Amino acid sequence: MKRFLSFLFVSCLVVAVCVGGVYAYDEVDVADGGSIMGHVIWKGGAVPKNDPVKVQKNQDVCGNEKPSEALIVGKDGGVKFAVGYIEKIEKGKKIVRGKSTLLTQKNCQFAPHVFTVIKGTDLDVLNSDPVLHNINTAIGGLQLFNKGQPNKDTTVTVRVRKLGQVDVTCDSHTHMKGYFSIFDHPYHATTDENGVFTIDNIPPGKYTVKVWHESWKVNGKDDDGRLIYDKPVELSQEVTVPAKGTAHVNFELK
Amino acid sequence: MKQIKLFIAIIIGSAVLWGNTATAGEIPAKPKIPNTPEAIEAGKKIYFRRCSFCHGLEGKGDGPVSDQLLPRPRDFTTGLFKLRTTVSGELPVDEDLFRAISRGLTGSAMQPFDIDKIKSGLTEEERWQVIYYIKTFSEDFKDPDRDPTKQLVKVSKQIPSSPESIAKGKELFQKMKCWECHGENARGNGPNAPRLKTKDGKNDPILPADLSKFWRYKGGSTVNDIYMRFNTGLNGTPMPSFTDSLSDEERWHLANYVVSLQKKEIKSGVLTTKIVKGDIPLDTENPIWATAEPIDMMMSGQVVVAPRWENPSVDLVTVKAVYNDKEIGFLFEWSDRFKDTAHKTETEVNFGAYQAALSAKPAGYHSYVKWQEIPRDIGNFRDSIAIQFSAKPMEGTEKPHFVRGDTSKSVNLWVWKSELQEEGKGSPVEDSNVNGFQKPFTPQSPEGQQVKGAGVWKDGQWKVVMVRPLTTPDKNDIQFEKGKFIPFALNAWDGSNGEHGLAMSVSSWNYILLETSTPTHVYLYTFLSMALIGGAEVWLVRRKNGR
Repeated sequence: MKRFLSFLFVSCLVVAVCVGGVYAYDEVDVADGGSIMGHVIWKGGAVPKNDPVKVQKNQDVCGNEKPSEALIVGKDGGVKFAVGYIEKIEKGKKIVRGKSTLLTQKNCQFAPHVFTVIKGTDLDVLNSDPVLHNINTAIGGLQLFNKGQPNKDTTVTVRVRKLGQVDVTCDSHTHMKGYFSIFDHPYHATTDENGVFTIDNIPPGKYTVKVWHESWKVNGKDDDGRLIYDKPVELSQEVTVPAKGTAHVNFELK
Repeated sequence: MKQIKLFIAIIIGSAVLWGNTATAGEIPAKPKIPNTPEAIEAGKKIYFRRCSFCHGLEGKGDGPVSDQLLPRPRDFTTGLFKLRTTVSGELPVDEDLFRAISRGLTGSAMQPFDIDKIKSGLTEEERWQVIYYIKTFSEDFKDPDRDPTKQLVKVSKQIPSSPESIAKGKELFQKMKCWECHGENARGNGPNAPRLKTKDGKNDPILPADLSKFWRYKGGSTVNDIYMRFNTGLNGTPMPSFTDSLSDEERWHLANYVVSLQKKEIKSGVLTTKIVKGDIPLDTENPIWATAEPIDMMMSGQVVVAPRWENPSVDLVTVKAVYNDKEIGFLFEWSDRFKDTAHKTETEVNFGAYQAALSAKPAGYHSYVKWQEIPRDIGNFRDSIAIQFSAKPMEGTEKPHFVRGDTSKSVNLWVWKSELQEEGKGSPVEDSNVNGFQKPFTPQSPEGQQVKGAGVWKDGQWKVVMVRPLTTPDKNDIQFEKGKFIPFALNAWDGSNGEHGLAMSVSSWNYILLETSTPTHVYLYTFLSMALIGGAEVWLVRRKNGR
């Protein structure tokens, strides 16, 4: 029996190492780290104006409609709420642990609308509204978690334990929509109002940098007046990160 | 031949009934067998024979009959399971799958597989084997990071039910806004109810539970089951976990309150009707109705003839009746989440095609309506109820076929239609006749229309009154004679469930007795002999009780 158990233990270990080995991210001290500064720019001509989304309930708190957050273009053409990330990176800077990411629900809107988190860290979800929200999250239609939050000024903390691109919805308020991306490494960022994202302390070398955007192309409206968008946009580029330098990379949305 | 079919139906029906009332089989009696390649291989064989017809050969929930089932059969490749003892979004432990397979899921097509409770079930060993095979469909079960045994919810000591606990639970139902989905009266009709959809990309409507109907709770209706749902939520549905917003004690109070909302007693038997003084009121709230003894009629999907309907909405109608020297009146009450008062004839499905398909193919599952083929949005079809009588007096236990009669024995139906009620012109009840399921109802001539009626929808419930003279000169009408057991049956339609035509709920024949001053027991022996034979049809409907 003992032999069997030790055999079981070893085989489990082997499996764990093999399975884990494929995607494992090694945390190391990075010497001479470089940066990537990405710029996501609107090149699609006149910026399309998407209709606001109708609020179906709790209008006293939420208002009657919410502006579409699908495409937010700054004055120089920079696109807010795109996610820039290194596609596969096996080793690099240490992951900051013990620090959680905050997602708020205020005036019946998720904020930030788009953000990134690291697998194994915590997500704090705050309800600042005096109405029932439920944070229903899914990766490709498969639920990640669904937490009821009926009371104002309460926080729910969830440990993120899967990788993927997450849709955030609220079943109580069908107009609410948010997104976050979960990575197993720390090299990712969301663009600011100028369309800029910065990733730093990267071991020098060649990388594939990708940009994700939720899409602004409207394919129709559903029964609740929500806009149905096209598939998210994904762009990709090869980048060489110099030691102690910055690689600039532009992505065009059109 | 007809008898043999009926007999088979009864056998299957009673088997399903026994299974669904079973509550045990939750905890395995013997130790769990180890998960070995041999066990998986054995499980694969069981799966092929017993599971694949619904869940599909590759576990994708797409077996040949899956299109007829609502809720859809589970897609095992997703790793998403509603009924667990693990935190929201996590995988189930083996024991959770064991419980679901053993008990079945009431309110769905998933039957119980506990061999101690159902003859065609599986032994404990076989259940473990099939569980190990099912787990091979999803990669998630192989991920050591997602080990569900490390994600069990914390369960605390039960707080026994008491008036205080129920009162606290009731307060929490308000405060936690459970009513926003489940409704103020917990009939599953809260303001969110019409907009709830699955998040799996299929965008199927998903209705919050009507908490009075304990027989439709998928995860079981005991206080422990309910408490567990508050902890875990139902993965893949809008029902979230409340571990973060409710204390453990509060979850027990709320569970005790939910149990208190469940329908306590189902009254079956003869609809005994007392004579009253004064007029029979059309007002559903008139106190006269409170004096009448109610009975509950269990309804099932109409599966006798094509198009067979497996997804009925109305499964229980409470009936009361009173009479005076001139008239008889019925009051029908049933839960219906949404008030549907429009009817678009052009949207009706051509059910003739199903009957044609039945003659072209062997009578199998092809004769069932696929729910996706019927528009289920609000605003297409009316809500409706009909009471059915034999058009002619019957000798002994003889009765027309309970689905619309037959060629030699026609039925008289009083059909209340919500859109006529809404229009408010004339009576909302059509006095109709039909003699066989192939034909639609034929309303009688305007002078033959003698049924008055009124219907009111409030808080997820219809109340409908129908009143008619006890006797009429019309030879196609039922005539009410005191002291006689008169057979009647019900048909019901829920418009926003896509129901119209033969896609409806039906009851079997029951009896109404207009009481005279003679004591009831004098009639008892007559009734008993009738009931013995008539009981067969009751069974047929009962088989659906658990759905």
